[in-house]
Amino acid sequence: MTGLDERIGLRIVGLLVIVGFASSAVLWTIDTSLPSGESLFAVYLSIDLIAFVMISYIYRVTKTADGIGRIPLLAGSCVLILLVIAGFAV
Amino acid sequence: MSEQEQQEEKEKSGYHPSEQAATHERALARVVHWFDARLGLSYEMLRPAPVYSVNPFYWLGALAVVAFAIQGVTGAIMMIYYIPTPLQAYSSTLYIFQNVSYGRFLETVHLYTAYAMIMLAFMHMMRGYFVSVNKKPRELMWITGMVMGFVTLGFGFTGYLLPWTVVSKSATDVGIGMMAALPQPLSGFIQFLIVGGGTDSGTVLRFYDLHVVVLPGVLLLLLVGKMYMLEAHGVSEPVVGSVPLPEKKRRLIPIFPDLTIYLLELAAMFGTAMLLISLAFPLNLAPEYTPALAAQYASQPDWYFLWIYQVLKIQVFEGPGLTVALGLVSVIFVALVLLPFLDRGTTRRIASRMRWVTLGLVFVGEVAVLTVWGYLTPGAIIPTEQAVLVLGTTALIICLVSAGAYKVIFRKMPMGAPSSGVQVPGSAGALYATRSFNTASLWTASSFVALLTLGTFGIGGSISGAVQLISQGGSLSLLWSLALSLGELSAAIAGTVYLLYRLDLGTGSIKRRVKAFEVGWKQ
Repeated sequence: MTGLDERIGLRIVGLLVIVGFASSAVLWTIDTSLPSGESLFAVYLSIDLIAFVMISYIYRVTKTADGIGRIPLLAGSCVLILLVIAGFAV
Repeated sequence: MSEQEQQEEKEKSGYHPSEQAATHERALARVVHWFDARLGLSYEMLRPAPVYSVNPFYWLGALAVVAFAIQGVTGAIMMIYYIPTPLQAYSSTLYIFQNVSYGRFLETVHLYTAYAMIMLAFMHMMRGYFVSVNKKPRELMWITGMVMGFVTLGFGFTGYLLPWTVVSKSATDVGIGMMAALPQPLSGFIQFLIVGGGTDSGTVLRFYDLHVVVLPGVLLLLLVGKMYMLEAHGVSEPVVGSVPLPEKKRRLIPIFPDLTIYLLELAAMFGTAMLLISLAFPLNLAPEYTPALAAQYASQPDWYFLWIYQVLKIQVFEGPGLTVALGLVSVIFVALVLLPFLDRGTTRRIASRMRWVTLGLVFVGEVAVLTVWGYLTPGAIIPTEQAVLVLGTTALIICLVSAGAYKVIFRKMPMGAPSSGVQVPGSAGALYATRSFNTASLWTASSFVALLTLGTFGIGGSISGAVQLISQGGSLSLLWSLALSLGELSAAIAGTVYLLYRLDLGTGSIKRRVKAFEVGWKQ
């Protein structure tokens, strides 16, 4: 794994940790009596889970010589962006 | 680090325990040793996994277990509100839907995760079938896994009744009716287990008990057994060609944290998929069961039993033929359980297992076709000729595609011994493997397809004729039709035996040679 990749990985992990904390914070504030509560719960829990998947992926591949794959990161980022947009929409 | 090295390390670091402390240490060591000797805490309990197992296809069963865990959590919450009596089952389910926070979402996740568990278990089984993981020494793992699959289907069957909707009750009645057609004492035992005295309250309570206590307990016990065997044998090696697996792929990684993190990734992705699917397609509760409403409804089981139900709906299996149909389905299940003892070949390579691979593809194809067909024709009786045509055509197409694929993909591939260590030197598989796949030429594959088609029509016609003969009595046209079908079947069997003999001549594995079968054969 090259140093550049590792630095990028660390920055992405930092961003993902912020996203994860933010979505957890939203999860705690959801009003469970509202009809939209279920949708918000599902979307923000999904954001948390995807952020976790990406962080653990980066941690896992950083230990090997393969380096961080661009496609998994791009796919994960796209899913996260879509979920964040969906979170605002519901 | 040896004890001497540890002692040196302590001395270097200035560690000089007092006499009293040393006594304490010895006492503590004795206590720790006592427990360690009995519990094996210091033993290496989880063997490291090879890098090649970092692949979702290796962990389909683990994902099914994740689904089971999600169902455990969601089910435990629903148990707080659910009341297992015919009068209150529906109203309590409706209460969860309407009054419990996220209740509808909880029900939806529970149902879809159950579907996912069944699908994952099926995929896990078929993946194991195609890469032949059931070979020595994993025969018991396969059988345990199959029993776990049946328990998973049992979860689906017992859980489906619990909401007490017109859909679920009617489907369960169909299932119970099917089981009543099984031969005694099996039928009596199952009836006792799931129906009891025959009252609705007895049935729903038994289903609830089976769903939340008995089946989870059995599944957990089987899971422990399977995990123990997995620990003993490790994950199976990938099926590779003549090129050995690179050392990089064989490198071992520790269970914790590397593999654990990977499995958590998979579990999180699976959980996300379940959450989003449940959000996109929320469950709608069907009306409550009443006999009047059920009379207007074309009852049929849930999708995972639909293929069996579609077989039972074939005209020839109506009435007394039902037992024959259930017998045929049972034979498929028994054959799957006993697969390690039926598929005795020593090689695991897909290139060398055309017959088994094609058979597996036909099974998957037929199950898919029957399921879709059943969904499209609820309650309709299927004419026998139509069934034979559809199922026969499906088998024919799959065989043709399989034969073509083998011809194209494996034609120029050298058949060297695989590096997986499964191939036994000097075995029939090894001898076969030295020959080019060109020997299994296109005419051989075509002959198999033709024989399969002939056999399909022969089996269909023979069963149809026999059942009609039993139910309607003998007539000349019926006897003639039956004789023709039996002739077709016999020709198909004889042709298949002959073809297999000719193919096995190439492997040198035949012990009793029949000269009449070897016309034109050149070594």
